[in-house]
Amino acid sequence: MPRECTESCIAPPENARRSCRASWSRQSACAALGVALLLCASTARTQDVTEPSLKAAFIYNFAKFTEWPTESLPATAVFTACVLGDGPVSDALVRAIKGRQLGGRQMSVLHVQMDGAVRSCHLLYVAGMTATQVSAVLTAARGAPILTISDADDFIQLGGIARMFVVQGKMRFEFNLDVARRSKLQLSSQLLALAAHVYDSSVARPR
Amino acid sequence: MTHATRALLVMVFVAAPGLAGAQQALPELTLEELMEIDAGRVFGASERIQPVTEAPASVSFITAEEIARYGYRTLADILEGVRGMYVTDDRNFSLLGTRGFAKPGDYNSRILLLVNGHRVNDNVYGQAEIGAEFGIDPAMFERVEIIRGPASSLYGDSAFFAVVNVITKSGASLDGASIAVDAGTLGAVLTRVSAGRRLKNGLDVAASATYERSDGVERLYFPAFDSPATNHGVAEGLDGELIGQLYGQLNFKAFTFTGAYGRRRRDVPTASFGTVFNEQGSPEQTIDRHTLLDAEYARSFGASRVRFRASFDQFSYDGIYTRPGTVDDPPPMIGNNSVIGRRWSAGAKLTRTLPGRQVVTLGADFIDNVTQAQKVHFTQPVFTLFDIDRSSVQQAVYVQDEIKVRRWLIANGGLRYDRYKDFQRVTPRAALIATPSANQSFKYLYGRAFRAPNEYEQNSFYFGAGGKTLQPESIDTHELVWERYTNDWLRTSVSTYWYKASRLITLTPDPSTFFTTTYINGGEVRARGLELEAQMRLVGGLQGLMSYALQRARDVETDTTLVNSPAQISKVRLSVPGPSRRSFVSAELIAMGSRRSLAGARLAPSATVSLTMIVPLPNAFEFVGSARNLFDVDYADPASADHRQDVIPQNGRTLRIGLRWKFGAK
Repeated sequence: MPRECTESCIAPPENARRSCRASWSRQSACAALGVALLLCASTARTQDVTEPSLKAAFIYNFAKFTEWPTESLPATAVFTACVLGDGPVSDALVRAIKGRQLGGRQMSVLHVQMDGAVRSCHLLYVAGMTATQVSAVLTAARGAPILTISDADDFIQLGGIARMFVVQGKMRFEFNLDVARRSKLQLSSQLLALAAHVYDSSVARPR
Repeated sequence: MTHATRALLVMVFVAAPGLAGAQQALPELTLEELMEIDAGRVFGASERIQPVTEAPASVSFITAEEIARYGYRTLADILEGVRGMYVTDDRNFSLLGTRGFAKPGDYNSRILLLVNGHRVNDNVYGQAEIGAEFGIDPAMFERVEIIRGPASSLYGDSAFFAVVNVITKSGASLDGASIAVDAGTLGAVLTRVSAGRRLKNGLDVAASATYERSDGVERLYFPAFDSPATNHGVAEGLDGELIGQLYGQLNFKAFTFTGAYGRRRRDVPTASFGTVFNEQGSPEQTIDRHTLLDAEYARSFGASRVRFRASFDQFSYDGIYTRPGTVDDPPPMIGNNSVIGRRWSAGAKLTRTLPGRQVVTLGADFIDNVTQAQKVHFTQPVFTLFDIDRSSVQQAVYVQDEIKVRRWLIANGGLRYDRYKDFQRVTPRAALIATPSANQSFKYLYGRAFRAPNEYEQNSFYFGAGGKTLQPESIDTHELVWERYTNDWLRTSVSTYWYKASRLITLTPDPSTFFTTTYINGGEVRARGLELEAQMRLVGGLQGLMSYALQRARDVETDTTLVNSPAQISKVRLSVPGPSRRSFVSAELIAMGSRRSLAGARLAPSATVSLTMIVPLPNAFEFVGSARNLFDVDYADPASADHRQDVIPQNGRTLRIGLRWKFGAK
């Protein structure tokens, strides 16, 4: 919120506050006024704890804790985060990365289409698609060093790397380490430690 | 009182801009901090998880953290903090008022109470028990969702004014073991042991046991009984409560098993239902027991999600009522009202996402009320007044469709058909939800709901044969909602509603029956209201909420405002981190406008403040201290026609301290 707005919009004017005395109905009018004022304060910069903003913050953090092979992400290259099928998350991601860097590098957000060139993305967030569509996108991304993320139920089973989901109101996530390895991505141990579940076939088999 | 309200309001307004400056942007938070933020999703509005802004209802939710910070000890405490709701306590049961409707003497049968989506209203009174008799310790609540407005199109009977869905804790959220001990004024003692864990193989186990007792107010004075024959109106040592609660949950892959048992014994000091005042030999007492067993299987297949549920509920109630003897036979008569309700239920539901951004839900419910028994038996002299043992079955099918018409527009429609032995009901719901941006939504909601006559109202011994002809009552509600997330720290909502409740099942005089009253489909109530809410959740740990409800609910026939219907309710709560690390001080103010009692008296407006403090101690100990009604305000709730009193005095200041010890966390 712009600083100059705070005083005038949020604090009720002095005379309004004085009129709040005693009477129930007046007081309620003041409460109503107060809430209305709070609502009026909501113009300008909005970056909110709605689900898209929260998801964007997670996506940004996943990128922070992942290492890409140098050939796909040279030191001077711009990091490209792509979003497929979810406008609000794409907008929130644009807001999230604004003025921020990722390991000293610039970031850009690309809102891609179903038939778009996903292989130029470093990160791909997919949402609001049918299983068949998700499957097609993952096929297009297969083997490329792309951190694929989604909130789709079967995303891990379909061959995606990271899935976000809500458990009892809180955001949780899980990873498919096998696919990450095949995509030559290195997920930090810090990230894996916080995951609700890590699918990793290498630990099940003795080597 | 109004000063306190004003001080808190001003505090919130003045504090808010300063806090905004201190607020960190989401992407700067660590993953651990992000994982603590509530994603703002609800389950109960559509029986599937969805963002609050897209839910076809005006929704509030209370998290486990808030329950701990504000020191809530019963579901009634929690709901009392919710916008527009108010609780009327007759020192036996708690009646929940919503949208200006809380007729004294009614049981909570116009609120649907769910535990993880499982109906817990009993099948004799249709009552949602929200006091300690609810049966599950609030420390085991993960969240409580309040879905306002009619929801019979999804849930059928009782989803009249609101649905309250209690989501209980899993092993993962308990993560370790905990022992709690509390002690406080009025002889209150509490012990709780809980443990839970999600194991590596995916098995999730949670369990808890609670024992609680209190003596209550030692000497309660009721002017209505102020005569030498009735101890000058003083009820001595008759306000105690004894509570035992067990809870367990087991989850493995798609299966979830939940079990709970709760028992509460309450001494009743008010001499209700014409019992002997200050009876010390066999005092008036109620015992409520709830058993809940639930097995659920839920999983996704591609774009479909299925859920099967089978459950068993047992509710039993024993009331001891000692009535004065007659001239011929002077010793008092001791009666025991014993009620047992048992039901088996099964349900299946399919939710499928269709191309074209459509989500369709199909479901069917079957309820077999195997026992609906009511009995009054006297132990002195020995005789049975009546013994009614009934049973019934109910079937229902429902459909709901949600269509994303445009990227910013959702249309939601639902329809449910309920079949009872004597009647059938079809209840619709429709919603139009516009989300011009991801952070705000405008909703128009329409819904119809019904409440079926319950077994108590149809008790032919009490109320004659007329009960057999009772029909369900119904309500039509229209609502406009504007919800908005502002910045990283503020959520606001404005809603306005109007409803018409008709054919309300109302008590009316009838000299031919045992109680000289009977129930008929009589009254009609029309109401309008406006509700405002602003909620702050700051990551530093500071959070607050203020709400205001303005309502006018009137009886159409008499053109008067309903009894026990305050015109205004204001609430403010604020939780501040400090003074030490990870400690919190939280305050809550509840202010209610004047209400009319049954006898026509006007009760003075009331405002009470509660204060809770949590301080972590060394070695994983934690100290909790709380004061309810901090300023020792003298206030009362309206009594029902079952009382000789017109108003029931409420507790003054009560204090409690407690220790929590947590160990074995992963």
